[in-house]
Amino acid sequence: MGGTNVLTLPMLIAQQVGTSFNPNFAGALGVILLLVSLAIIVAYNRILARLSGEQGLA
Amino acid sequence: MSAPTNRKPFDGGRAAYLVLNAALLAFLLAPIAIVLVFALNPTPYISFPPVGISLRWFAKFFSSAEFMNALWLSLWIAAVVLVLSIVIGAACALALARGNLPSRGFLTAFFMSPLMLPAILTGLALFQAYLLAGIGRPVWGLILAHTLVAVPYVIRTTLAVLHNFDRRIEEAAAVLGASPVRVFFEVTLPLIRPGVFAGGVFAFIVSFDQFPVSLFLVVPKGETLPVVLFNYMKFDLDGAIAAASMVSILLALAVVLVLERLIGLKAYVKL
Repeated sequence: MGGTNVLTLPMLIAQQVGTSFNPNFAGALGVILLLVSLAIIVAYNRILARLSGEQGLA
Repeated sequence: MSAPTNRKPFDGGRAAYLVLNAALLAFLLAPIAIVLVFALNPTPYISFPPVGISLRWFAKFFSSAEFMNALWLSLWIAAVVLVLSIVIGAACALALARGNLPSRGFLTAFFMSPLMLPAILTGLALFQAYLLAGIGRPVWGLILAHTLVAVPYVIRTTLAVLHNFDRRIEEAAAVLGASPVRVFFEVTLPLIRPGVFAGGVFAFIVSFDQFPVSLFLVVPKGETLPVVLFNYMKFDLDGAIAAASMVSILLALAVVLVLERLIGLKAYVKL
């Protein structure tokens, strides 16, 4: 969950909703977090497919 | 005695392997040991060299109505989530493995997606959806949210069992005159039960220590234990947190062991 000096994006979102009452900013942060995680998953799938594809050829 | 000279280069690798394993184990278990030290230390704040052993934080935890209500709420939500997710998860896994569905890959990814999305987004999205739908934050909404993130674990473990499933056993039962319902309850279900209950244990744990999804969905007087602990920790950092952590670790462990004893072993013995 991060300490006091390190604020991770999920904790920032939680703060924006719970403490700062700024759900719109929280929504924007959430969309960014969503896009980043989807990009990582897609990249991971691509790399994995390529690796296993090469294994299949060899 | 030629073995020691032969084994010498091998021993270096083995020593490194053992050291690495010990380091990993220490990394995983040290936090729990430290929590136990803090829970037993009687000083009114968390400090490292412990000055003694007392159970005052455990007493505070068990005598606090706030903590106890949260603990019971968490436990019974986790129990309901366990039941819901094994029913839904096993049905989903059977449909995915057997159903000859046209878009099987897409559906599998869809059901697994709660595992891939950041949990805080699941919580936030459900919170806003509940608000827009005007249903507020009822307990069943929290249960549904936990079930949503717990079902993929059951689907995963059940699919793994179904992958090695010998369908000829079912065919044999059908040939011998069993109705499809009877085949399901007397052949299929007992065979997939280890996978279903292994997923159920995960579902219980996922619900019991669910923080990010619960965070926005709890109501002020009906908070689950992780949320209560988090809110408490924002203002007080005393041993009660450590005691509560110890109790929830031990409770989760006990539930897993009991489930394993009751269902896990019995299922294997029956097989």
